[in-house]
Amino acid sequence: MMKRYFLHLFYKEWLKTRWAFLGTLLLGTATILYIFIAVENKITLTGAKTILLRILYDEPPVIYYASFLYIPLLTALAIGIAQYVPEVIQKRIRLTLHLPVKNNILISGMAGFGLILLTLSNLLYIGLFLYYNIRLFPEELTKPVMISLTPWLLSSYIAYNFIAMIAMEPNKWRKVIYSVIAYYILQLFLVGNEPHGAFRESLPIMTLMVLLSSGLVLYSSQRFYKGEK
Amino acid sequence: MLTKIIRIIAVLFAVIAAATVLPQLYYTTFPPEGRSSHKNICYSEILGDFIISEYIYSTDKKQATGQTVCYDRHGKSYSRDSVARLLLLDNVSQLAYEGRFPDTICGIAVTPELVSSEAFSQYHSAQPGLYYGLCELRDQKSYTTRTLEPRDLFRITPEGIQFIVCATNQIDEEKSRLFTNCLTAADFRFPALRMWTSPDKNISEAIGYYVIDSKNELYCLSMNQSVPAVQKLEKPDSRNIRNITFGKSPDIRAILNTENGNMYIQHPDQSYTRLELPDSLRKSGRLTGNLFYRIFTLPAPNQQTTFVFDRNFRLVDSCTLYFQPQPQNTAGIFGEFLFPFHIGQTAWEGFYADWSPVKRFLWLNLVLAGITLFYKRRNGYRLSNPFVITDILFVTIFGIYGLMGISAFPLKKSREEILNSQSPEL
Repeated sequence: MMKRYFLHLFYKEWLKTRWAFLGTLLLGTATILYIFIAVENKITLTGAKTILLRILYDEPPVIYYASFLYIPLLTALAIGIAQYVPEVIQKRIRLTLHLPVKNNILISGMAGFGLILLTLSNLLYIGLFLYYNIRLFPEELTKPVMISLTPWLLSSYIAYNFIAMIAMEPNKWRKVIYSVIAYYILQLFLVGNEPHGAFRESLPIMTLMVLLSSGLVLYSSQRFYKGEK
Repeated sequence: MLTKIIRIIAVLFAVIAAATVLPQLYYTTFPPEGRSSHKNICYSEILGDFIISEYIYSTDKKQATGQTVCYDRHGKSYSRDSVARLLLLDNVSQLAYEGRFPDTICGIAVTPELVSSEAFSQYHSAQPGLYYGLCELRDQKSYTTRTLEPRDLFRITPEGIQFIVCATNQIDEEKSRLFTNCLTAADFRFPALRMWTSPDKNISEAIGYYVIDSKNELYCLSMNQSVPAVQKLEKPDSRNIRNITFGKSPDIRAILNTENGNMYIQHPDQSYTRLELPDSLRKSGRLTGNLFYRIFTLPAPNQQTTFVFDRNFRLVDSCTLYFQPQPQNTAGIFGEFLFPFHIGQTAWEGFYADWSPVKRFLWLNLVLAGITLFYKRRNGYRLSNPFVITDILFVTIFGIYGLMGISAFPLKKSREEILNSQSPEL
């Protein structure tokens, strides 16, 4: 019975988010293709060894994948907004919360679906990026670059969890406060312009923050359900 | 219960956000430190002693000007003009321009060109820098013909040395096999732990790379007309090598730091001289050289020690300059009261929390905790509620950040607390 509930719930969420998800996936894929077209173009113009040495050792570092910085964040914004905002504005979420299933389970299901979509898109981005990067560059560059990309991918989860919390919050002034908090937390993740492999030491704490943020939506949904202001 | 626990997590997020941004905003608007004097030290070959120059700001805070005073270790003052005549090797260009450069210094015939050619400066770090394990091995004769310019980069893996052709990202098997055999013949144990070369292209071509193998032995790897040249080098002592910097002067082939903090100069004949530097100051520093001396300047918190060696690296003299900690102004002191700590992040060390002195911020924290306690009691919260205690603890520890956090995410009263607060009407 529960399994059927979740399948129906996931289908409902998919109907809401499919175009946002596919649109941002297209944008992300295009961005990655653009990055490597630009790299191959530079290789043709100046030579592979020159480009590789510049990427590895130039000061300031050549971050050839800088265009990808905001793609995971945009994906999270698109999925989160498509999933929660219409529900709250049109007050459809009340129907969902009156189903004969515990509210926390329902909201967790909704958030879980969004996180699954996000993980799917991040895995696709990583897969495509790795495919092209391994073709062009040795692993001594690929591994540090993947470390540099990880905070950007983790930022998408933080952004999604905060969007869910902000959307479900009934008080508009608290929405503003939560948005400000989310903005400054995301600043810690959206780091760049450092040599490849930087911020490796920050990854455990970033991962912990992502895991802890996954429950934030339950706080706002409870306030929404109780009609608290 | 679950919602209350999630609320605590949300408060912590608010604390992190506030601790990241508020101190930054405050200290950008109100810089915390006043002006302090700047000191510099040079060694006079004429006096055989150090001369210290200090820029002292005017006592009038509205004035941005100051003056430079020069004195030796015994406190004797010197004018700017006389300092230039005592620091001949440091003022070659100026003195030559003014026609005041002497023909001899300390009995040695000199010209401005000779003195300038002997001068050099380089930075030496006790810790190794950024390292990806992928390097370029230039041929010693690559300047003669383009055919000897390498189009590959190399790495030394457990399987051996691999040359990766950049254009195809494939391994040049023949060249890799040739170099691997040569390294194996020299008793090299794969993989390499670390490699160093000079940032100067000419020195890098001539010397190649210093490589540490898996047994912590030191090798020199170079290439001459596409033929590998591998030489096992003696280490300066039995300790493992931590970092190597190649010298900019002909009498210094390399500067090596071992793991116990000793610093060695490797000469062109590959012999070593250990530098007499005290343990506590074996940190990254600057090496400058002139016609007579090799001068190491090693910084430490609130001080800097300068060691002067002769051309044979025998210690001639040393002097420690102490710097007064920069005075804090009112804004800086107020900031320490207001902000218990500041959260930041560096590229290579991750997150850090910089705490203010406890005796400064604790008082405000206790006052804020008292206000929180008063507010909770007045609004009917029961102090036996563990979440109320948690709120007060947050404010006590995190101060203004904690107060902002618990205000952004207010604690919902329990049913009992609501009933108790409504009981007068009932």
